[in-house]
Amino acid sequence: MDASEASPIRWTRVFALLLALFLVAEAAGQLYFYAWTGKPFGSVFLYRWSPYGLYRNNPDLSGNFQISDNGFREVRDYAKTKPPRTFRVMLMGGSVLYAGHGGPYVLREEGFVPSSATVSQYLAERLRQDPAFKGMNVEVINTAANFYRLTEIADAYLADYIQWSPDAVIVMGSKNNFGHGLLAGEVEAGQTPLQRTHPFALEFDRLVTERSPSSALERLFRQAADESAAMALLHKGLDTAADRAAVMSLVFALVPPIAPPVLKPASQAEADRYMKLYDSLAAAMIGAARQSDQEIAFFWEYFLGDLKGIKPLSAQEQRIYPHVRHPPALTQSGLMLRDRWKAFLAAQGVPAVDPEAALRQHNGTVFIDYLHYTKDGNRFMAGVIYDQLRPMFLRALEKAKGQGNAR
Amino acid sequence: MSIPVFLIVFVGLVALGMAALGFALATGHARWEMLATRREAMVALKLVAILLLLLATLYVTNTGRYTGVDFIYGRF
Repeated sequence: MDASEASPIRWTRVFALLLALFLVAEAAGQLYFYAWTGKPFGSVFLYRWSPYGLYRNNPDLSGNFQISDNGFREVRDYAKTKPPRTFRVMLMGGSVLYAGHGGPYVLREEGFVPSSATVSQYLAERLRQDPAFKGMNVEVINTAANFYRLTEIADAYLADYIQWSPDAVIVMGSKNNFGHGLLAGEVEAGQTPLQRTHPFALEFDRLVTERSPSSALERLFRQAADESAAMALLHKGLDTAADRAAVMSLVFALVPPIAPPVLKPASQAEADRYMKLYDSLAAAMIGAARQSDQEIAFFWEYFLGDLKGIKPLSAQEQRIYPHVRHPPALTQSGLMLRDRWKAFLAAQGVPAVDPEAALRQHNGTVFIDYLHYTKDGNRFMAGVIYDQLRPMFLRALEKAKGQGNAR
Repeated sequence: MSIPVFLIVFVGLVALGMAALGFALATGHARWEMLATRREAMVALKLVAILLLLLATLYVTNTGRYTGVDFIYGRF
């Protein structure tokens, strides 16, 4: 028998070994994050909770996206109090504005869109080139948070961003409100994007509201992952493993695949009912903007899968299109909602940016996947926004000058 | 961006410690058994395995975890 097996276990040595293992793993983890991001390790969590709009981007994120200390998808910080001689535009929206992407059909060669190449950067560039804005400090702030619906945007705007004194506000994220279009029975069943509970609210309930041992343990693990690079990598590894396992369980399910349902678009009455929900939230933002002398406009986001016959697709887009095209019933429903959206905004006297006409004339690559934009796509959309909203920007500029902001 | 002092010091200390240990072992000034027996090392590894199992169980049992948006928007 080995002599060591007869001797008692020295627990201090066991824990010293564990500590040594951890230190080596931590050093490797720190080096890994530095090599990946060029910055010291911060956090692997994309978001933080917010009392205004449920969640915001995590400024400490170590990863493919740069987040400013304000929690914005920006390369620099902004002061909440608007500096003198400043023209400030705030862009609000979801993942299209964020310039994220979702697979599996993605133009991988485009890589991740850096924070220096989102719509906000290109719009700022266009405004600075405009002689009317000469002598003004132009700020265009990208406040996007992935999967922000109008529910979260309105909350964030009314309770927070309105106090940042933007001269103009542009609301994007339409796809998070209208999805792929409405189908018959969805409104009645409460299954539309604005009726459903936000998926991150489920996370909030589990991680914050819940007081179970498993919730406490998970909070502890998340805290450890925020403090240690090694634990962060472990957390990310387990996340990935859990996601892959979920996909595998679907792939190898014993139940035979279910035949796709026959898609029937929602009726006009159902669409009316749904639009009331959207209009209520939009009207709240419009009213608040007017009370605060802020100009406001809305932007419509198209799916690549709805654009056959509208946009001349580039060779890159043609690679993705067959995988993401929509059945005619969905395209039809989406266009009906768009027309109602435009009619509502027109009745309110609020500009609606619809890129359809510009897309018809553009054969370059705009889409990086089924919905989001490439760097060039962001530049293109910034141009569309600038062209369609220039009168609004000039109105806002006049107001800003009238308020003495240009002194 | 310059490499932060903390990172240099931390990684440097860990590397120095590992180098010193390697040197001591290689030159016969130390033996693995002086540091920890095989049995103690196995206990340490088992503890790591238990921790991993515990964490993996946490993922499986937290049924609300799969929100359906992870694929595109990332975990909360």
